[in-house]
Parts: sequence; C-alpha cells; structure tokens
Amino acid sequence: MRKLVKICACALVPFMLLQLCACLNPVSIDSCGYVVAIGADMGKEKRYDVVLELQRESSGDNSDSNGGSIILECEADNLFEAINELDSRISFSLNFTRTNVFLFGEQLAKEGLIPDFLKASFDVLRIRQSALMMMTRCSVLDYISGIAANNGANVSKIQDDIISDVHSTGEIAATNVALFFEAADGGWFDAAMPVGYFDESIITDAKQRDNTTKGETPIKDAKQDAKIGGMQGITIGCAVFDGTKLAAILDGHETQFVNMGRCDFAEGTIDYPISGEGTAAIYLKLKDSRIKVEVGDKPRIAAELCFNVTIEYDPSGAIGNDWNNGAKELLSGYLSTKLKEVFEKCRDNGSDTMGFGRSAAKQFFTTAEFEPFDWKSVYRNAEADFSVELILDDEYVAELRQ
Amino acid sequence: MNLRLGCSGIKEGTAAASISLSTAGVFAHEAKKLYAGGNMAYYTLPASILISLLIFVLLAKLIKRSGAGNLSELICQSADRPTGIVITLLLFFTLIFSAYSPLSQFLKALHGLFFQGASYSRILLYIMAPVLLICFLGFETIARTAKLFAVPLMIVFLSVIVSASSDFEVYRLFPTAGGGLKSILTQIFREVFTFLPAMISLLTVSDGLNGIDSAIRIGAASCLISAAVCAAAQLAVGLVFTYRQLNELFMPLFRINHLNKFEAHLMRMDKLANIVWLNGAVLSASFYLYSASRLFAGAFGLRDIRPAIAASVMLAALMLLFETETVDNTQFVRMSELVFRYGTVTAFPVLAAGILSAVRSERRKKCGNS
Repeated sequence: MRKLVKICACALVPFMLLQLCACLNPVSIDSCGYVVAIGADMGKEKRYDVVLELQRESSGDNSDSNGGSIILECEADNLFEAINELDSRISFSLNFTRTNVFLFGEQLAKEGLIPDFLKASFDVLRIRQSALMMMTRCSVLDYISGIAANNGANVSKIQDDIISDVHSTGEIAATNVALFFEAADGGWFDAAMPVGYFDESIITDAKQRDNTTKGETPIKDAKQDAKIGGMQGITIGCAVFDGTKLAAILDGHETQFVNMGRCDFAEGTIDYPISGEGTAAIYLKLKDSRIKVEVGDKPRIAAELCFNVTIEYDPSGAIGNDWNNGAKELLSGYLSTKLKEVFEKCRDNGSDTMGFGRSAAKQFFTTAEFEPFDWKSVYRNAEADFSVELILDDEYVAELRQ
Repeated sequence: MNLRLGCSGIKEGTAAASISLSTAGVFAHEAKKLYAGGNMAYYTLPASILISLLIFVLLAKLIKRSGAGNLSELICQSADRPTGIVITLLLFFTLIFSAYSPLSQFLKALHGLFFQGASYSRILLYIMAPVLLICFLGFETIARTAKLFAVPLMIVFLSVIVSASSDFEVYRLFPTAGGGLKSILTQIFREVFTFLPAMISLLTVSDGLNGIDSAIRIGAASCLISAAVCAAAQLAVGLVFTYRQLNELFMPLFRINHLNKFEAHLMRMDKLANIVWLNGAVLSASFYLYSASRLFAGAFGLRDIRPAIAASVMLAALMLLFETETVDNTQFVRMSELVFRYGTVTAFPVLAAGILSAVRSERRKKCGNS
C-alpha cells in the first residue's frame, strides 16, 4: 500500500510540474500580437478613435523582415469594445503585457476624457500602471505612423527613449498612469506628459518610398526644405494638466524649467541668450534642492536649487572668464527669472505641475486637517521665489577652450 | 503517541514564528480597514507586535509556573474538561481562520494577477498540497523548512523594497497621525489580534522548542524581526502610495513595482517575488494548522495527530473554496473577518485559566512542603 502511495505521489509531481511550465497547454509566441502602444482620439461616430500599435517580430527566415509595427484602428465607445472589434480583424490574439505607452489626442485631453478612457481593468489586460502617458498635437494615428514609418525603428523602445530623454536633456516631462491618477485624485500636484508632433517634411528612410517623394531615390528627389532622416513622429516638450484636463502646452526649453521646479531635472543643456552674441549652451546638473511652502490663503513658495555648471559653448567667451566677476550672478538670475516665468504660466493655467502641493501636504498631521484642505483652490494665489546657486565645474574647460 | 512534534532549535523556531508574524503583518490585511483613517500602519503594527509579545511572555511564564509543557496542557490543567474543550475549540477555529486569511489573499492575488484563466480550485490544489504535506511531516519539518526559506524570503523582500526606492516620496506618508491619538491607539490594540495567533501557536509547540525558556527567547527574537519587517514593508508601501490609494489597493506590496516611472530589470521580478512570498504564506498556514491540530489532539486525547491535521487542512481548504467558488459569500467573509480579528480574544480566558492554574500549582507546592 505504501509503495503504491509513493508511486502515485511520484507520478503526481511531474504532472504538476508539466502544468506549471505550460507544457500541457503551450502558447506559441506567433499566436499573439503584442500591443506596445494604445492611442485614443475623439471619434466621429463613436466616442473614441482607438489606435493600437503592435510590435512585429522579425523573422529569422526572411531577410526582408526586420521588425517594425502593425497599426490597427477603429472607432469605439470604450477600450474593450475596440479590442473586441480589432481582435476579429486579425489572425492572432491581442496581448497587452508589453503595453508601455498610452497616447491621447489634444482634444480628448482638453475635455478631460482620459480617466474615462482608462476606466478599464489594468489587471485583466495585464497592463502595468507604470505605462507612460503622452499627448499628441497631431492625430494619434499620424503620430504612431510617424514613429512606425522608419521601418527599422524598434517600436518597443518608445518608453525607453522617452525616459532616456527625460534623464539626459530634461526637454520632456514624463508621467505614468499611476502618477496621473495620483495627481488627479489627490490634488496635491498635477501631471505633465510628453507631447508628440508629426512632421511630414521629414524623409524617414533612404530605402523607403513614402508619400513625400515619388521617385526611387527619396533623398535625392526630396524638396529643398525637406529634413533628412529620423522619424516623422517627434516627442518634445510637455503638456501640463489641471487635474484631468489639459491646461497648457510647453516647449522643450520651458519643460526644462518645469523639471527643475519638480526637482526631476537630472541633467541637460540649456540655451542661455547673451545680448548681441547669440546663445550659449550651458550644461546643468542638479546637485541639491530645497522647497519650502507656507500654507495659507496666499501660499508662499521658496525654492532653492543648486546646480553644477559646465560651459559647453560660449560665443562671447566671457562666461568662464568672468565667472566670479558677475557672470555667475547673471546666469543665476536668468535661471531664477525663467523658473518664475514658467511657474506663473503654469499657475495661471491652474496647473501645479511643479508639485509644490507635495511640500504643502507635509504640514498636515491628522486627516481632520488634511482632508478638508483644498490645495488647488489656494494655489492660484501662490507666489514663488526661486533662488539658484551655481557651482562651476571644470573651470579650465570654461576658460581655456580644452 | 504520534504527535510529530520533533525537536527544533532557536533558529528554526524563530524562522517559523517570524514568517508567520510577518505574513500576518504584511499580507493578511484588508486595505480598507487598515488605511481607512490614514497610513499609520508602519508604526502601529510594530507596536501591536510588541504588545502581543507581552501577552505571549505572560502566558509563557504562567505555563512555566503551572508546570505545564505547553499551552494545551495549561488549558487542561487549569479548567475542568468541558471548559477546557470550549477554550480549545475557540482557539482551534481562530488558528484555522488565521491560516485561511493569508492563503485567501494569496489565492485571490494569484488568480487576479497571474492565472486569470485558471479556476480558484485549480490554483488551490497547488497551494494546499504542500500545506498538507508539511503539516503531516510535523512541526520540526515546518520549522526546518522555514529556516531554509527565511533567507530567500528576506533577500526578495529587501530587493523589492530597494528596487521601488526610486519612487519613494515622503509627502505620501502625510497625514502621519491619521485620525489622531484615538485612532492610533484603536489600531494598535485591534491589530494585536492579528499577531496573537502566531504567538499562541508558538506556545502550543513550546515543548518541541527545548522548553518554555527557549520558547520565550524565540518569541522575543521573532517579534523583533517581524516588527522590523512589518515597519519596513508598511513604510515602503506608504512611501509609494498615498493612503487614499492604499484604501483601494489589494495587497499593495504586490504592486509596489508596478508603478515605477523609470522601469529597470528589477521591476519585472515582482512575479518571482510573489511566488517566493507564497512559500512564506504556505509555511505560515502550515504552522497555524499544525498548532490547531496539536490543541485539538491535546484536548480530546488523540494519540495520533494526523487525523486532526487532515481535518484542519481540509477545513481551511473548504473555507477557501467556499469563499471563492460560491455565488454569495458575503456572510461567510464577514464571519471569517470577525473570527480572525477578534477570535484571539480567547487569549484572555486562556490567560485567566493560566493564572488559575499557576495559583493551584503554587498551592499544591506549598501543601506538599508543609
């Protein structure tokens, strides 16, 4: 009897292991279409125009196939309706485990419909809430086509690309689904998401014949004002929100100051205008930051930022040489003024995208004080003072052109 | 006698108790209750653990005074047989519910996050089979397996917290005092009942831990370890989610890496981490179920513990199935919550019984001397 039990137990172990490693019910990688981006615009007949971008796996047997993407589009009242319709059009099933970007059209963002569109179960679709969010000034379909047109581009890298730009230039402000909802529900800060544009004057690839040029050699046949190379979908600047609604759109330069105010600016090169001499390129690296907020009907915000500075290009040649004789103060003053300008632009549009409410929240210790306080209602009266401390790195680089 | 107690050392006992306490403190909570008045869990839970340690030490001292070997013997000595059986049954069902509670959370998480296509009963098969096996092999196996898993559990726990640290924001901890002093004290005393079952389990198997003094040392060490683990876990969760978000999240530690703005390779290890933590829940449930069976065997004079273990595991499995597979389970969930939360109020009759037993024992000694 004991022997029989042991035999049964031994037989049960491989059976259970086979189930665990999916050997009894295998799913081939070809049978799934991996959605890397989900986009939504305002629809004409239905509520939304939904666009899905699928990663196309490169096939080892076919040398012509080097990856790229498949774009699917349809109108629907919600994401699940779109998924059902699109699923019936393709020969494989949609898989959302690799979805890492959500894109929204400008009109949809203005009307505050993002939460409505995202009112889907992320767990059911297996989408992580770390997926980034973007807004496009063109139609989402154009932007995605622009990203995908350069056939060699790996569409699954959109998220990585945005994140690396946030770190290295600061000209993009990133937010993910979780942060967007935290901002919208909590009311202690506002979201800022990257902005996508479509530039049809860009000739995407020498091998590819597209609508811009009709000839066999697109670069040669391109118009004089055409831009050669890269993707037609461009990502720069940020869209700042007031809760769930789009409040304003900032360019790349302004976005750098938004990131500085949020203390998210890791490093990047800023343009520094010098009167009569053009523009200098100053590389800044955030060293330290301190934010203080006095809460009241007219909140007072004091932000102290400290940067390491490297002078990359200086047409006047004076910044490095006169660093201790007024150049440092001039640059510091310029940064403080720009920070204040950008802060006021955001504040006047009702957006606390620099997140000063997060510092204000630290002054409440009980829920009885915390819950009734409406930061956004007093934020419109807020005044901010920015003070910028600069430390010149590599002085010899600035002075001796080395 | 086939009680399958064996003999475990301080490290093994500490590992078993620490895993049970930490699992209760980190995974067996209902977010809506714990974070309703603000996130205070990162300091209230360690305080609750320390209070449960005091009750544990008091009970352990009473066991020593009365000359009993474990909690079951203390109950039998102090009260008449029917009262002893009633107290034992109350503790028995509390321990079953304590085993069921973290397993229920893990079962739902596995179903919702990983195996959506699979039915609850299929997933349950993989969870309850090891529970039954380890319980059948006895307390020494539970403790030694716990020692084996303690280090991987801790490594995974720390790496998950470290990998989420880039998203920590101090402002999310505010309001730090929640609903004020009253709500802090209420939460501290309410959560004592989350940790007492593990301490009661430790007392039930104290004769397998080289005596009551050794059990006290194990209890103290495991309480300190678990207090640190619970504080770290709740603090990490509080730094990633505001209390409003926590109110709506199911098992927030499961999602701590789902939200990271800047993804890295470590972010994708959450599924692996969840499977490792599941081992902790399985060990914790085995510990509770073995202890429940031990109490039952003690009260009814069973010479072989295996029928009691089979019944306990079956009871826990049926409760899990009933909760997940029945159409209307609201009454059951409410009842289980009630028993899990307040079942260990039975610690107080046990305490009273212990005091009575200690007094009797002292009297007997005095009479013997005179």
